[in-house]
Amino acid sequence: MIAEIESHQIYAGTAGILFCLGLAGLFMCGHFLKKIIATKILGTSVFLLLVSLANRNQMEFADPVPHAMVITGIVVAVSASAFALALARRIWKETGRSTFEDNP
Amino acid sequence: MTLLDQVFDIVVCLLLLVLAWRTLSATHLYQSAIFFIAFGLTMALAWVRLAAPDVALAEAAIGAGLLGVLLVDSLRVFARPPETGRDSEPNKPESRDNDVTTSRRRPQFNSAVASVTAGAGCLFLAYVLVAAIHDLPDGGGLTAQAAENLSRSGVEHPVTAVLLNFRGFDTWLEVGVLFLAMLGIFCAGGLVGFSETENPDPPGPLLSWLIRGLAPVMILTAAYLLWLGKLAPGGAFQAGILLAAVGILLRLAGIPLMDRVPRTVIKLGLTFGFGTFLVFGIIALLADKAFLEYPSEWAGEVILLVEAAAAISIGFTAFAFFAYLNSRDQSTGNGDTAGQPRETNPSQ
Amino acid sequence: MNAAASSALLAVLIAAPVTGALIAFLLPVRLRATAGILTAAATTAATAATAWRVAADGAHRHALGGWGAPLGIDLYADGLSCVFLLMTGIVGLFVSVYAKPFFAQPEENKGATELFWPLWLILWASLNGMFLSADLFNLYVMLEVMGLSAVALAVLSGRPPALVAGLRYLLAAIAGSMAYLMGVAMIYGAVSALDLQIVAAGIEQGRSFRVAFSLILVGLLVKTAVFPLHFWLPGAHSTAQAPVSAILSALVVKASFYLILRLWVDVFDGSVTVAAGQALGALGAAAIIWGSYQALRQRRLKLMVAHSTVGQIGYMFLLFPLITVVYQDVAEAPWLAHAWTGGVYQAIAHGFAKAAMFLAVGVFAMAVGSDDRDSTVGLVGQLPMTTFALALAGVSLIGLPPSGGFVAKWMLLKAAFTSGQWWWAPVILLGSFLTAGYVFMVLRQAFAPTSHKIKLKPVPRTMEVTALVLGAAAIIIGFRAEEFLLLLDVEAAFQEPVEPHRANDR
Repeated sequence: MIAEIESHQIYAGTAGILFCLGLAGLFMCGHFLKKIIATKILGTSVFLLLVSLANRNQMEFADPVPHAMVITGIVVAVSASAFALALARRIWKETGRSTFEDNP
Repeated sequence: MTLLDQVFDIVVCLLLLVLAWRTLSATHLYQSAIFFIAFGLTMALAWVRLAAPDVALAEAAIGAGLLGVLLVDSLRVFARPPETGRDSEPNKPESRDNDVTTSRRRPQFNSAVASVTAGAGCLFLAYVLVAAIHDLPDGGGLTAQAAENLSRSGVEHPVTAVLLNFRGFDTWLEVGVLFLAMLGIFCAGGLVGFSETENPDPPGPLLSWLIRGLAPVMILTAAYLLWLGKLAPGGAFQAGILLAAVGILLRLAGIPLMDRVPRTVIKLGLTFGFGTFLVFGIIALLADKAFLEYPSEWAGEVILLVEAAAAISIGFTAFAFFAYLNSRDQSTGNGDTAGQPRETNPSQ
Repeated sequence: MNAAASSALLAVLIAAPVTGALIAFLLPVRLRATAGILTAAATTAATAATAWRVAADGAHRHALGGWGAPLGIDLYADGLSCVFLLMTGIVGLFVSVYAKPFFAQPEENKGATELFWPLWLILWASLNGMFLSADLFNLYVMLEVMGLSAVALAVLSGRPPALVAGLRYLLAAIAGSMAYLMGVAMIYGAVSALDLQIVAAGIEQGRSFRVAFSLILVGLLVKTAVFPLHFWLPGAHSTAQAPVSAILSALVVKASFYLILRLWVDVFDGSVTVAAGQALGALGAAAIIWGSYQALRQRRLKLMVAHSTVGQIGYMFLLFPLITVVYQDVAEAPWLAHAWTGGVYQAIAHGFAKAAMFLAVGVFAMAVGSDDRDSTVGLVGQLPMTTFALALAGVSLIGLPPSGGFVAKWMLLKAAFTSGQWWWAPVILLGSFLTAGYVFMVLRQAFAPTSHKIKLKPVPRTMEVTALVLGAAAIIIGFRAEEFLLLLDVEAAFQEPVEPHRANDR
């Protein structure tokens, strides 16, 4: 039974669960930094799915298109996170707020 | 696939899930950050297991490295109470505002109900997703098409061929996103410009000496990584981030880089990669070819040129992310930067 | 559709604004506005040329890098793309003309406003990219470029409320694009293609595809701010500065709507169900009522206009239940064309009207120094042109004849009755009544007689004129439905209306 499971299936399934964890974190966590980390987990889950699906059929080399997509995705996601961090830090310095819930 | 491999994969996946859970559920931000870094390292194992060395390098350099540094630097900021206290902006020093390193929520009347509902929703979504992923048919990938056109791409490494040639348009935009994020950080930062680090205790003489010695070696490694991208995993992004790491280390060693650089150079550095791509794209259009189409006999050379420009720009921008956020005198006043020194203001 | 002519113009629509953005960034601050307006004019001219050529010789395709799908990325323009491109071009040009004097005012020129031109031009390039790209992953990158530049523009002033709203907007945008990318990852795994046409051919029936499309859809609904995923919009759109608010409300939310529409009718037309169409329509209906009601309750004009956007977006989503029906023969379903045209018309008419409204409110706020509704008392005497612009935009939003908004709502209403889905009709009418309520409340204040003459700050005439031109455009497109339909029909994505999957067909 267990021998039928391929490693890409394990990782693809993990990606699905990680996606939900990231989504839950984004909604449930209060602090800006944790929300930003949650978006990073969300992104990682998507990249994991792309790469594990590409891992299904190995010819002379693995499908390079998803790998390239993931590299692009990582850079884009980190840029967005850096921007979000800058906003969160500025809000903290200006108003002392670290969550959205403190809305006056 | 051996049983050992399977057990290893399952352990890695469980570890990933546990670390992600702990990252999000930890009460202290520091714990959260540590779990997150551990999560990143475990991901590196996963990439290796999935035969994705390019992704592993990119994730280590950009995902864990650059973002890790920015996160840790931000923790330092959030650990201190904010310095504002101006009349126009009521700063309420409530108990939970001072308790900044935790993200405990106020005990809420309906918080338990909300948690249970959210948990159930998540479980359901996870079930649907995993089932759908499991049922996905196998499309076979684009490996064959990539292999067929590889010889015309000018490089030998398939991932580099996709990134810089087949789907170079995406990569161009991706360099653009970096530039854009820098502009966004300028907008968010109060626009004062770069200045000395606010790092209170610079490293000792030995460490400082070591960092200075290391810098040239790292720059050489970056150049090698860039060149290697033609043949093997590596390339502009990894090389660029290595360059940024040189800058960050030097800055932490108390050697200022950004605050002495003329504004024009900063502006050119930020736009260099995005602009070089664009220039080649426009040349191709003028030569009656498609946008970003390289002449096939020169493709390798053009790609190396574009990659080098991109690497320099990426390194510069990534370092600027850090240097700008880390600058001492940013963010004073409610968006009103009049009367502040703006000589180094890079957006002007 | 395959014999699309190749055209370098499509690449120019993206390369030109980016070139302008880089040049503007490298130039000293005082020259940026001029460079920006020149770029805007060039981009609008290229847009007009593209629309002209598409109208004359049919759809165009451009294989970026010379590779072509499936390995490379293609740009593709048909009638639907051109309609949205043209709206972006015209609104973009006038907002640019408005922005130059606006940011020259000392009280608006705070924070990072010198970055307006590079950011806005990159945003414009990404909007054009959204309407042109035929590649699912490239569309993800475009979504991110659009999201990041939109948020950066929203926080340009650097004021804390804008920063908080901007962070919320950014996190929502990231979550939306990640959901979208998750769906794309699943699609790629299953069909090994990213090009819309190839993906459309490879889509099969089944749960996996429906889950993938649902993820894509939810991600895009967040970005379009459809009720109840609109939580980020009122804050972000109302705290931004006037030209930025106009860009965000009139153009940015339309790009993700366009993508939903494109995927719904061109790519996933085999997977969508009648129930899914009804669900989108229900969200739209809820948005109309909730958004318009909230707009009615606001005392601050910018918040009112921002909530009004939530409501007006709702109308666009009434298109989906009306075109997603089971039928045997197109001739039996004459309402399909009405619903289709009405939905797209609503997107375009709202683009002009909402841009005009935000620009007009910006003039009021600049003149009075506040955007409180009560502070606009008696402004008609002193700012007649702007009050008129606001009234014209309001007429289109309410859907009074003769205006673009009237054509849109009339067609949707007609489609609702002829298709037998009469339950959308009361929603459309109620939305119009509520809209009329908040528009007249503003106008009543503006027309109210005042004993004392308020001292107003002088506002540059250019700003007043551009608001009026856009307001007039929202009316004029009501007279120009013929040309609009001709362009929309070029290689219509909608030649073969959506035939939803019937569960018992398998």
